[in-house]
Amino acid sequence: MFSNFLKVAWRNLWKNKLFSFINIVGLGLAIPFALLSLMQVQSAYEFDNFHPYPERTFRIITDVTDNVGTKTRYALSPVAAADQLQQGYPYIEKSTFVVRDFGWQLNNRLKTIDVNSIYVEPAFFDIFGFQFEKGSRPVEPNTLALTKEKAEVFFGTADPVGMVLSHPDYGDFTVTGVLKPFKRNTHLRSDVMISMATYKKNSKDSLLSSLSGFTYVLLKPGVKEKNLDAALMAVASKLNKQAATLSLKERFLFHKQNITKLAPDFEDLRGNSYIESLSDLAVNFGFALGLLLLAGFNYVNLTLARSLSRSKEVGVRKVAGALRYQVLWQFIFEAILVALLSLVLGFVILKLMEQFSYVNWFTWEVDNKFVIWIIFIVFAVLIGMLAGFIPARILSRFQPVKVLKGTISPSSFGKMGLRNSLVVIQFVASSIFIFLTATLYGQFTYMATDNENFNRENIYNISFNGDYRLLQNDLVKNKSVERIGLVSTPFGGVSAQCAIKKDNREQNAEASYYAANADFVSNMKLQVIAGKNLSPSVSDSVSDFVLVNEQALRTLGLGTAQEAVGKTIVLNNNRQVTIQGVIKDFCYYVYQFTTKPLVLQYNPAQFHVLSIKTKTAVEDGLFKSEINNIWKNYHPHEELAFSNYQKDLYDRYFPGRDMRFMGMFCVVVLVIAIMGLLGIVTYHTEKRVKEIGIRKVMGASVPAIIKELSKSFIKLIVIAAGIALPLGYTAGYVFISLFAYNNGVNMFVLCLLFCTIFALALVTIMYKSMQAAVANPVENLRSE
Amino acid sequence: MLLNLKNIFKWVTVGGNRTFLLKDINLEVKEGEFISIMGPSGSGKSTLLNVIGMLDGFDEGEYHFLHESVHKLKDKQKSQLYKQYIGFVFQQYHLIDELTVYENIETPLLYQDVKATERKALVADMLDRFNIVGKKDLFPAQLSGGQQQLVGVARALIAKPKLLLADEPTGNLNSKQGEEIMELFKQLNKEGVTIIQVTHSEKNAAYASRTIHLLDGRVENILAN
Repeated sequence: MFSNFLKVAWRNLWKNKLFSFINIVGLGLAIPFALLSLMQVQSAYEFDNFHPYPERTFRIITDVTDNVGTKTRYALSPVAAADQLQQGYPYIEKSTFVVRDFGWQLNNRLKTIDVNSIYVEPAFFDIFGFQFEKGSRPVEPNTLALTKEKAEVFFGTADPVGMVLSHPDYGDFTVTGVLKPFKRNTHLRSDVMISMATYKKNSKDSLLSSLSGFTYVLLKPGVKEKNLDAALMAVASKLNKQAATLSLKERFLFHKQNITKLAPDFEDLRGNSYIESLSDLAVNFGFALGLLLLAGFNYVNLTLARSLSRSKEVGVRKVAGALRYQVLWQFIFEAILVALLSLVLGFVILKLMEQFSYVNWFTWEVDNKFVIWIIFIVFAVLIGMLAGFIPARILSRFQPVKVLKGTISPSSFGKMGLRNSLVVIQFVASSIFIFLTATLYGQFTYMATDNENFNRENIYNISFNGDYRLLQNDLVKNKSVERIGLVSTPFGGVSAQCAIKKDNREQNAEASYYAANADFVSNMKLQVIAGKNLSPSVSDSVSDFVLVNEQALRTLGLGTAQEAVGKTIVLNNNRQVTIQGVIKDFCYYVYQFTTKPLVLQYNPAQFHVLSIKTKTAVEDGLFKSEINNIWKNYHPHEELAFSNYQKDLYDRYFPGRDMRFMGMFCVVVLVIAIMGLLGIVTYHTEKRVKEIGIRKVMGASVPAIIKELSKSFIKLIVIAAGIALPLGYTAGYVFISLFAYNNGVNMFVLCLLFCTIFALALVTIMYKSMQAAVANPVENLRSE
Repeated sequence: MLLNLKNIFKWVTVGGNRTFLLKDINLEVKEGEFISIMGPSGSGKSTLLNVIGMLDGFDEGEYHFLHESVHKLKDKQKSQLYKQYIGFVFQQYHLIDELTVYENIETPLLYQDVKATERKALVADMLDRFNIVGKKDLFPAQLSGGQQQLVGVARALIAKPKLLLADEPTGNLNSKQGEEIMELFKQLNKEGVTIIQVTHSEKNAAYASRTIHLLDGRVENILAN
């Protein structure tokens, strides 16, 4: 029986190649996204499984009950608890405290990079499986360890140990070591691990009971877990007693979590970074499932559209004694076969996606390949059963008498209105999605290639320490060099901050501060709208004249640009400076934010970057070697840090892989929508085959029939366009408004995209109608 | 006695009016009989055959098949009954296009849970008997009409039914092919298979022992040949 099913299913697939192709490809395109989410689910269970003592390492989590009795469960714990556990519990081998900090940026003078950071104690490396490739653990204040990946980003092939990275607020950090690459699936994921001493130095809150970090405990081998429970009870009561004396209302209760059982988070703990909660996984999966649902819906539609050709078989089988459930299973089995074939295709596509649009916020590999394959196959079988069930139920319902007499039309499910609205929804959804992606693409391209805010063209940055004058003098002699500006750090990254106020009676306002010279301002082509540029200077001392932007005037209330020139402001509480010029507001940081007040001042002590403007476009490699020759004269032992500004910023802003991934998703959504349309058009034309035959016998021409057939679908598409255009525009507008600096919604692209989508739909409709219209009427009528 | 129809009525209601498809049919068929049903188009021949074959229901009357009262049975039980005792042959052959000759003949056995080895033997016997061994791996589209109908008959007989129902089995065949099929029926009847056939041809009807003439859903007369 089974092999018979398989044979029929296979021959049917083979016989109707187009339909099989559409079905398999449709599901096959949707499946990789589901596979990807399944991998996310499995990898969520493969968290933190690489530490050396999995069975005796625990994280301490905290239940906090506040004064009204509301209990909140945190993944964090107070530092006091870690301190307590460290002393007086002989069965605890080690304990350690980890603090996660957000929003770190580190700078190697040239590049500013966002990094993901945690503060760790030395014991951290004994408890967890993070190993050093080079160097040693960070112990002293302002020391840190880097991951291998980030070490390469910052220092390339040079040895990072002993190098310096700087933080805009906390100053310079020495790299003490580089970690071996470790598995991404850890809640301790980070790019830098900073010494806890740094945290203690900079930490503002001294309250021992605040939930500032994570506590981990390593039990001695063979110790029973309930000992730890008892210790936690004791610590909690001690802390609660202390809290009571301080008349704090919060009460703590501690629990332990085995390190291998942190993820996924079923309890929805607060502060549980990098651990996916159940709802995260569900949302992730929901997206993929939605896509699969659309593809599955198409399978149903297409299969039913073809039901006529299968009806005879059903009739014959039933006459031969098949019971309904046997026929039902046969059709479900066929759907399962299609799903399994789609799985194969889907897996290939997944691998291609990994190759061509690797997006690092997904996990692309899981530890246990065997389990994931079982999950994949079970999943495909389930998809097949789901997609196959509706058509199977309908097909298996055929009465042999009717079928064999030929008095049956293709079957359908649901009302026509429902099916029509589904087609409209598919088109609206795909149009909007595609348009959003296009808008996103437009914005990224704008940010990556923008040259209006400040000049990036023909600019090369060289980072240096110490004296620069001789180097600058030599460099300027190079035939390609037009002008050399000096600046503390290039635009586009995090800048230093300064405090400004109108006079000593006022409150300080925060402003971005760049040490720059006149040539830098010229290089960046900043627009001075009042007053004049900084005066050219080679002096060693700080100038008392500054440039500010319009926003600074507004913040300080200095009136118009013209009025402000010549006025004085107080810089960092200690220095009175005169506004020499006002520059037009421009985006010097990220595009999401509106401009902050900006101060540019000639300050040679803070110059760290030479901003070289070349006369014309030069060849990077050649220019670099020329520059390098000069550089070697002054810095024989230091590698030249040289970068093409335009390229640098392009790389920073253009997320090529993410865009490709989004693009792929767009194509899939569109293909599925087109297939849905194809299904419904096919169904309609099959149903009207007899009518078409009669019309043709009556003398209707082919174009007249095509018109007749496509009329209702074109109406659907027009409705979809009517909804999608305004909605798409709004969605694009809302999205683009997230960026303070944007280049607007491109109406032309919007219209072009819609035209393309609807042209595709039109072709589909025409193709199918044409097929029906040119068929020989005698063929269609003979069977009646 | 193989089957017995008592006062069978079947109708459809169109616009509030009952149109009778079968009207007060009484028929008794003994095992080993060969019966022809004749009548003009729309007289209810095929409907009667479908009712006898349990593929179609009726609105009134009693139908006994062997020891079962068919009018009291559920669909599933009917299916159980006919797949065991009845074989069908159609004018349009109704072979499954995606299956080979061999597989088409095998189909009824699949639904009767016959073991694979036994199925093989039964199908081989049948192919042998109908002289179509050489064609067993061909698909229906590769056969002539007569050959297809031969396969259709083979499929109907594979499960060793007591009753063979044939709805104009020679309707789509030329006279020579038709004659061969009728000779085959005669032979089968001699071997003990009860046959009821619907036909338009007097000549083919004459193969049977008696002929039932229908008109407007009613038995006009029954003639012994």
